[in-house]
Amino acid sequence: MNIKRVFTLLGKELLHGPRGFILTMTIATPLLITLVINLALGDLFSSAAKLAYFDESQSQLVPLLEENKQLHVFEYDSTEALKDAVSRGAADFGIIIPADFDNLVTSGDKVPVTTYIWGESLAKNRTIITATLLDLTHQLSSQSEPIILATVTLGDEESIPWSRRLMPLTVMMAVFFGGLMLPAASLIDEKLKGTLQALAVTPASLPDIFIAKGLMAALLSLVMGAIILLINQAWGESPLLLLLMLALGAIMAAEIGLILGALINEMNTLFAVWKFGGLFLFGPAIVYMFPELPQWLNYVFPTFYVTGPIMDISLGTQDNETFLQLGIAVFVILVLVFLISRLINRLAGEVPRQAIKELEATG
Amino acid sequence: MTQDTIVVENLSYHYGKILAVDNINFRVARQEILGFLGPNGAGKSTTVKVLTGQLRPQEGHATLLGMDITKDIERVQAQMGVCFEQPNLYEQMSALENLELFARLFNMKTFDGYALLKKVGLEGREKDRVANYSKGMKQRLMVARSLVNQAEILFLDEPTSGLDPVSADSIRNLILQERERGATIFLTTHDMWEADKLCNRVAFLNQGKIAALDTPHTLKQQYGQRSLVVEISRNGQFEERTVTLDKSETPDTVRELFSREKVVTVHSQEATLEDIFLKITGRRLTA
Amino acid sequence: MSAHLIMTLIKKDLKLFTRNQFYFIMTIVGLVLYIGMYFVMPKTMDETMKLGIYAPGMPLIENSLVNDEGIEAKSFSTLEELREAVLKNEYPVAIALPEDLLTRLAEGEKPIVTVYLSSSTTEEMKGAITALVKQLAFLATGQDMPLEMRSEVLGPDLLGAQIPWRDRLIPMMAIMILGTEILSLAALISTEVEQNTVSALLVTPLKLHHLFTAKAILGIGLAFIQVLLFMVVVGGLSHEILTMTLVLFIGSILVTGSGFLVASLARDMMGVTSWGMLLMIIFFIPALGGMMPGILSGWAKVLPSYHLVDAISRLSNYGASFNDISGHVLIMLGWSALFTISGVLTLRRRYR
Repeated sequence: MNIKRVFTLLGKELLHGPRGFILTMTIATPLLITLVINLALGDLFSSAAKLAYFDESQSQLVPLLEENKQLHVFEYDSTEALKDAVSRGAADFGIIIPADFDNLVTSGDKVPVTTYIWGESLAKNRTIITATLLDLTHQLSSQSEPIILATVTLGDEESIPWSRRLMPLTVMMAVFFGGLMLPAASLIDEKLKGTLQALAVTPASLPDIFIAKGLMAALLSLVMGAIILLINQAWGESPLLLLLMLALGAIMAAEIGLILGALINEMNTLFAVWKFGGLFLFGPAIVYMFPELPQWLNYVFPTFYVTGPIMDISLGTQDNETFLQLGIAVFVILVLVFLISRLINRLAGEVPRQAIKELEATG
Repeated sequence: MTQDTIVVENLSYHYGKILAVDNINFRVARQEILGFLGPNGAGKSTTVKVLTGQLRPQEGHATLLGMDITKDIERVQAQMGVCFEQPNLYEQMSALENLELFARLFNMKTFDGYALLKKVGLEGREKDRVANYSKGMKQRLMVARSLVNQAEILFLDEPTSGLDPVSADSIRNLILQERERGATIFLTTHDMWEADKLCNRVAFLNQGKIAALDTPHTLKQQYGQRSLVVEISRNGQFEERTVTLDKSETPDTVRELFSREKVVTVHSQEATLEDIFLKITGRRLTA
Repeated sequence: MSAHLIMTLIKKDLKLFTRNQFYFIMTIVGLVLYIGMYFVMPKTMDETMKLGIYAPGMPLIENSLVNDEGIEAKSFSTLEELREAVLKNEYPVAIALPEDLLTRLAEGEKPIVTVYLSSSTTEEMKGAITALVKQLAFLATGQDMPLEMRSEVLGPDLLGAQIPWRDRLIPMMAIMILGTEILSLAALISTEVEQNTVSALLVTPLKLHHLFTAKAILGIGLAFIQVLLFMVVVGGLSHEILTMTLVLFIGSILVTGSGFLVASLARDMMGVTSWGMLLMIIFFIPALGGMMPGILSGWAKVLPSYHLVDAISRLSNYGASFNDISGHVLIMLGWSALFTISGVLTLRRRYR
C-alpha cells in the first residue's frame, strides 16, 4: 500500500468520479429520506390528536390552545380553509371560535360552537380533543375543577418522544445509504468496464484502489451524518466523541460497500441485495423505534454497535456499556478489514486466471 | 458482367465540424472481397456504420443489392451480416444462445449453432457463458454471429483482431469460403498482409477520402518498385547489392554483377501495401 | 414479423432475468415479505384509550366512562391490581377514586383523585388524561359543560369501523412493489446500451421501436404481475375488481415509462442507480398520504404517483367506483405518455 497513490486515486474519484451518483445517492437521497421520515413517520406514530381552529374574536382560548401539550393545533384563517383541512384529514377536529366567545364563557353561559370532525378520526382523539377543549374553557372561565388531581408515575421505562426514536434511522440513512452504495456501485462499474484490471496492473495495487474508494465514501457519509445531527440539533455535550462514532459508522458503511462491490458483478444483484440488506442494516433503528420489541435483537445487528453509542452520546446518556459497544464496533470494523483483504486477494487472483484462460483457449 | 452488390456515390458524413467521410465513391461486385485500409480515424468505421444502417448518410447515397439504404434499410439488413470491431455480445448468455437469438431475429427456420461454432473453433464451448470467454474466443463468436443468416453481404470490421495466428488463419479461410458461397465481403483491417492475401481489391482511406482503389497487384505494379537483392561473397565477407528492375540498364547491371562477382543468393522483392500507403498518403497504415 | 421480433427479444430478456438467480429469488422473496408484513399487522384499528378504574362502590362513574367510545375502561377491584396493570403497561393510564368521593363532593369539599400513569406514557397522553379526568369530575358533580358543540362529521364517519393500518398500507406497499420496477426496467435498457448489444440488434431486422416495445411489454408485465399477485393475496381486489386491475395496469405503465425516462437520463448503470433511486423516493412520497391522510400538502398532488396511490386507496379502502377515480386514470395515462415519450425520444436520438 502506498499513501501517495491512494491519494492520487482518491483525487481521481473525487474529481473524475461519478459526480452525479455522488450528488444523488450520497447527498440528495439521504437528505430527502430524512426529510420524509421526519415529516411523515413522526406524525404517523405520534399519539397527539390534531385540532384546527379559526378564531373569529382573538379569544384568550387561543394562547391556552397553543400552550397545551396534548394536542397539535393549527390555525386557519377562514371557515372554508378549516373545513378543507378537516375533510382531508389534516386535522381530527376543527372548531370555529365565535366572535363573543370570551364574554359568553366568563358570563357563565353555555357557548354554542361549531365543530367539524374528520370522519376517520379515532374515537380516542375525539374524546381527548373534546375533554381538552372543555378543560381549557373551564380554565378561561376561572372555574376550578371540583377535585384535587394527584398524579403518580409507575415504572422505570422512559417515555421517548418520536423525534428521538426516529433519530437512529435518520442518522443511519445518512451514513449508510451513500457510504455503502458508493463504493459498491463504483467497484461493480469498474469491474464491468474492465478499468479495475487496468488499474490493478499499474503500480497502484488493488488495496490502494479499495482504500481510495472506501475513504471517499467514508468521508462523504461522515459529513452527511454530521449534517443530519446538526439539523436535528443532536450534537449533545461530547461532539468530538460523537464525531469519532460517526467516523466509525462511516468506515463500517464503506467497508460493507467494498465487500458488496467485490462480491457482486452486476448492478441488478446490488439492487436485490439492497432490497433486503436494508432490513439487516437498519434493524437497530427499527428496534429503537419500537421499545416494545425485545431489545436483545439489537445485539444481532453489527450496525447496532455504531448507532447505539451515537444515540447515547447524542443524548448525553453514555455509560460503560456505550464504551463496550464502541469497542465491539472497532472489532467489527477490523473483522471487515480482514474480510476485505481476503476478497482483494481473490480479486487479484482473477488477473492470472484470465491469462490462463486465454492460454487454454489457444491450446 | 457481374452486377455490383455495393454502390456508393458521393457519400459524406460529418460529426459536427469533423468530416469523417468525404465524398467517397466505389463499387463492389458480387463475390468480391473489398478491403478498406486506413489508419485510425480515417473513416473506415463510419463508412461501415453508414452502409449497415447505423448512421444515415448526410450526403450522397448508397445502394446494396440494388436497394437504397435510406429507403429499404430493413430489407437490406435482412441480407447483411455484421462483425463489429468491439465485442458486443450478451455476456450472461452462452455462445449458442447468442447465435440462436440472432438466428431467430433473422427468422432462420433451420439453424445449426453447433456447426457454426465448430467452424470458428469454439467446439465444446457452446454452452459456456460468454462472460467466461477470452478476448479471442469472443472475437471468434462475433465472426460466427455475422454468419448466422448466411448473408449476401458481410461487413467484417477487424475480424481477426486479437486472434492468435492459427485462429486468424482459420477465420481467413472461413472468409474465403463465404466468398465461394457467393457472399460479397467488405473487410476493414489494419493487417496489410491479410488484405493482400484476402482481398480482390483494396481501398486506401485517408482523412475520409479514398486515396487509391485497385487490386493489390496493380497497386504494387503502379506504386511499388521491384528489385533484386543479390548477395555476393567478397574476400570471405557477404555483401548485398540491390538492383532495381524495370530500368533500361537493368540487364547490363545484372550481367555485370554475375560476371564480376561471386553471387551467392538472389531474391526478388515487391513493395508492400504498407509502403504503397505511405507513398500515396504520406502516412503509415499503422502508428 | 414484428410480433415475432418482439417476442424473441422478450424471451431473451426473461431468460436473462431468471438467469440472475439471486435477483429472481429476491424479487419473489420481496413479494412474500410484503405479503407477510400485511398479515402480521393487526386486522383492526384500536381507536380507544385504555383506562383502568378503581372506583369502589361507584358503578355510575364506571358506566359513564365505559359508554364513551374513545375509552376502553376496565374496573379493578383493588388498588394493587390497578397499579399492577399500570406497571405492566396493560392499562397505561388509570384513575383511582376515593371511597368517600361522593360524600366529599356533597359536602362541597374537593376529594383527591389519583391518576396513575405508566412511565412510558407520552407527555401528550398525560395532558389528555388530566383534562379528561377533570371533565369527568365536572360531569360527576352535575355541572353543565361550558360548550355546546354542534358537530358536523366531514367525510364518511368511520367511528367504530376504522380502516386498519394494514389496509392503509396497501397503497404504499403497492407503490413500493411497482416503484422498484423503475430500476429494473431502466437497468434492462441501460445494460443493452452499456454492452453495446443495441448496435448488434439494430443491424438485424429488429428496429428501435421493436426494442422499445419489447422492453415496455416486459417491464409492464413484470410490474403488473407482481402488484396484482400482491393485491389478490391481501384482498385488495375484493371491490371493483376490473377497475382496480385497470388502475394497477396503468400504474405498471407509469413505472415502465419512468424506467424509460431514467434509462434516457442515465449514461451507465451508476446513473440508473442514482436517478432511479431518486425517482423511486419521489414516487413513494404520495404513498405516505395514503397512510396518513392530511399529512401531505397540495403540492404532493403534482407528483405522478399521487394519482395512483389515491386511486388504489379509494378503491380498496373507501368503496370508490370507476367514476370516482376516472380523473386519476386519465392523469396517470398522461404522465405515462409523457415519461415514455420523453424517454423513448431521447434514447432514439442516441441511435440515429
